[in-house]
Amino acid sequence: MSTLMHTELLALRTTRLPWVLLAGASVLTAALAINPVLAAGTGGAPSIGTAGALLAVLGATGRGNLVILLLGVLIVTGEFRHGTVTATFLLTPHRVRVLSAKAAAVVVVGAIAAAADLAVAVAVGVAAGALPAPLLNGDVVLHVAGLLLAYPLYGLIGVAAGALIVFQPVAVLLPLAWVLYLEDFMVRLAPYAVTPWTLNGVTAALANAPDLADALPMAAGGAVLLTYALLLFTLGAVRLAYRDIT
Amino acid sequence: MTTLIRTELLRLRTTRSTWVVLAVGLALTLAWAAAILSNIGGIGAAARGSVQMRADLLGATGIGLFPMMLLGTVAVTGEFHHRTATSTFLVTPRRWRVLAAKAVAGALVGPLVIILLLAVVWTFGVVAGAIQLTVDAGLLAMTARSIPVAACWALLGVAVGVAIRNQTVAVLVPPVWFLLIETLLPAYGLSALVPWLPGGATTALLGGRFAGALPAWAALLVLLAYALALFVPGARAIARRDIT
Repeated sequence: MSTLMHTELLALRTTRLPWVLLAGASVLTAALAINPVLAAGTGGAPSIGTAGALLAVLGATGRGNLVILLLGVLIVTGEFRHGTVTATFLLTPHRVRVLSAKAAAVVVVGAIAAAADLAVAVAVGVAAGALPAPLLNGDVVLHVAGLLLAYPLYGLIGVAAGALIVFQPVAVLLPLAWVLYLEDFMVRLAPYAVTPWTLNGVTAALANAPDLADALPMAAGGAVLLTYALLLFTLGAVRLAYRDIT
Repeated sequence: MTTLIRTELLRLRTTRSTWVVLAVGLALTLAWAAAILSNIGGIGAAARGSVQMRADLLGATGIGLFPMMLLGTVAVTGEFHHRTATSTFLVTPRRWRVLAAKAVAGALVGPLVIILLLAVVWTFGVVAGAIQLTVDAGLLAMTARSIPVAACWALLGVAVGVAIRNQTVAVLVPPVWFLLIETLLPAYGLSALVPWLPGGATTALLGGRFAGALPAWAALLVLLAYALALFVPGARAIARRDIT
């Protein structure tokens, strides 16, 4: 198992795509962190030195998880797209192990990306003077920790989505569309009680939900998100294990 | 050339993915419309039966344009993804004609799709009692503005496919551009650019009013210019490319 994981990490380290994605996550984080700095004090945006601006700058780490989700999707669907899946499964016929190794590798990369994005956001915040020390309290630390924990969990969801869908263009679009738009649509048509249990709802809960009413407690949000990810992963693993490979 | 266009239309008509993609567009549009309807009486929502409500509901078809654009993109990238490009270009060695036929087919199908979406949403609104059952100049003008927009988006979709070719990247680019990059730009003091970008031009062509919005004819030209700017270099690259 550890050989498989090292193989996956080697593949990630030596191909261009993961680096492009990591760079993309950092650029996205930087753009989102600079946004409240530039807007500070205008049009209703909080001024530098307020808790609002501090949360907005640190909150820039809240979208990189989608890039890691994308990495998870691509690490699985890429095998099918390039036809390498046949050789991979001939070498390791225990397909669930392959998928688990991919998931573990994505989780590791997700953790690294989370650290890198935090560094980017903090750098922007410090340079802009938007992170005054007296404003940093336990709640803020929990908020940021929750945002960063979402990276590996979304990576796991991405691997699961890749194993479930396999067809790369759809597998790439559908999870992103779900998180960014479709879920919001669905929720508006569903009873309000559903909202805290949606993917975005539990992600916000994990992030110590500073701006969401009726969110689950932080630990519960994290547990539910982990459950969703593991459930999807199990479905994906079963689907992959019984799929015909040519 | 007409044979090529008819071939493209035949392919569109007889593959399942076309209908699945269009069904997704319809479902998204209806979901958006349902969200607008469920918001009646909420803060900032238009009143039942008002002209604004009709404009909001018909504006829900905007989300249905994304799947349609995707159709244009996949028409090109699918040839490379499924490696059918080899036989296609063997049958029609003038490669740019194949690509042009795809663009024309897209521009023909786009308006049909948007008219269908508008009709469905309008009916939905009337049945729900949120739109008055009258056909006036405003409604016709909205429809008339939507048609060139749909054609342009289909053309843009084909052009993105021609320019990028890698299917996965090509299907990601339009949503990321319109929903992420263009919406973020004003925050960086780049609002002056917005009227000249594809999203801003689309809004202007649809009759939306915002600071610096171009007149409709100029917006149309801007959209066509983007499609051409992506299509021509991409088509040249495809024309010279080694196909295995």
